[in-house]
Amino acid sequence: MAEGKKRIKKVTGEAEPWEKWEADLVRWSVIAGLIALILFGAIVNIFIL
Amino acid sequence: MTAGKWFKGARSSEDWWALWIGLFFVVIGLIAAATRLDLTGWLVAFPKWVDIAKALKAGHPELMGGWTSLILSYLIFSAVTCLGARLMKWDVRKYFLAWTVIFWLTAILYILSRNAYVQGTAVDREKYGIGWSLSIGGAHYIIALLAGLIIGNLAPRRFREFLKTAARPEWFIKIAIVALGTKLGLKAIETTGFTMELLIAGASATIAAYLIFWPLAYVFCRRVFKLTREWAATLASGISICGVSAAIATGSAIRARAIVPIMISALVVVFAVFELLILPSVLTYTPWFNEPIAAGASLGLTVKTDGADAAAGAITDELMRNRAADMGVFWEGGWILSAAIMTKIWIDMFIGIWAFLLAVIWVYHIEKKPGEKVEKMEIWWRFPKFVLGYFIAWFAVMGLGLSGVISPESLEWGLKPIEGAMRHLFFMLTFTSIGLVTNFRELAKEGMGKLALAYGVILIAIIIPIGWGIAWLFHHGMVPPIAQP
Repeated sequence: MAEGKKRIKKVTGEAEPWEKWEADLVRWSVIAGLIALILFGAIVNIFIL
Repeated sequence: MTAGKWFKGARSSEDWWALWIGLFFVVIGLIAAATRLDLTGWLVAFPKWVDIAKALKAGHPELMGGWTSLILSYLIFSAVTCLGARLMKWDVRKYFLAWTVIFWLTAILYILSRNAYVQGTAVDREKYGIGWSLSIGGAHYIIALLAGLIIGNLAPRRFREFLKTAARPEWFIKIAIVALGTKLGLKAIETTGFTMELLIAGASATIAAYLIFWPLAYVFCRRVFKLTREWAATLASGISICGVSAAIATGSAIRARAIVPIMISALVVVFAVFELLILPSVLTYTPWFNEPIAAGASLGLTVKTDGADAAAGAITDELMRNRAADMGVFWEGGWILSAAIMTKIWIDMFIGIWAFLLAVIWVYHIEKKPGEKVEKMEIWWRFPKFVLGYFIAWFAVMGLGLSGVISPESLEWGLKPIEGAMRHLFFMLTFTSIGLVTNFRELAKEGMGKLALAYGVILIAIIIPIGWGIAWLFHHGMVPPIAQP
């Protein structure tokens, strides 16, 4: 029970500090998403819509 | 010493056993399709009903009656899951008794919640001869979850502990996801013409959407709501990709504690029901009405359970076509729903890719200590094996169908009960189990409120507006074909 409580407490527990690799991951994922948006958007708009 | 072998856990882990059980039934479905021997028709399905006598039917109704099919399904699934439980060294006697309670509780809830007054759409009302219905498609999942929560929180403690022996939400959903692979294979075979255009537009929209959804959701969780990485990654996957399945796959890939994907899954289900109730009307009675296919696709990008997405698509299809008919325009039925489903199917496909990427990131960036050498096998060990089953099922069905080895009609006949009846039953077992293992009072006290707030804010501020924009960009101007008089 105590262990369960400790486990659940982690929900609101102290978050790890934000690190550079996280910022990189987010940045590159968004960049990839935007490239996909423009590239696929253009292809779909030209050939399908 | 097998600790380092590639098949570590193949006989003893829930993940591997989901793969074995899922593929076992897929193979049976393929044998049925190839030989036309009815090996899958016994699977029980739960159709909508007004007459309780018609609340159950076999996957192939000509094979047997509904009740026989339910009993047979119970016996076969009991045998298979007990075998898994035995090899995983669980207490099989206790598992069997608790499984029996959970199975029959789930079956009863499934029957009751499929009543046409609860789930019937406007079309169903005509079909079933009823004057009104609540139109809550997918209500069975929320009812199973609520019932599980009530029992899991209010029943005597000994009974709750007993039920938890067999309340295995992760195991059940993983088996269901392997079965989902067959659905993707069947869909890939049948796509032609306008459907193919919808599929391509949906795929493009989905790739762009989830690459943008996930990092933004992750940043919000980490920077705004100060969640730890395991909560942030699992919530970001749940809300960005395909809800429960993605949360579970992510949980496996990053080795999150079991409670993490379970809590996120509960949020996914609850919020999906709110979306189901609100979004169809919003889309129909706003300028979205002029972009019906884009509206359907937007549901696939924003409603995070298959059931709620399909239900929201069906309601939107119905509402929009009725409104168009009032203006003298008669659209063919089902296309808005198809747009919702196609986009969702693409999102479903990305579970495996994302789980793999997260496993790599977690192994090499998060859990790696300075100077430590990480074995490449570690990525394989933490890659969710049930996702492998899902890909095998998908490509096997698609390959056999497209190459003409088995006709598409035979594949549909043999696999439909696996893709439909079995998958839905295991989803139901999942939601009952999530409720049973969720201690809501403690969660509310300790942080569920914060998670729910994070989920709600991300849904409203990121997923819905961006999902709408992307759906419009890739589907604008598409309208359903005009219905022939």
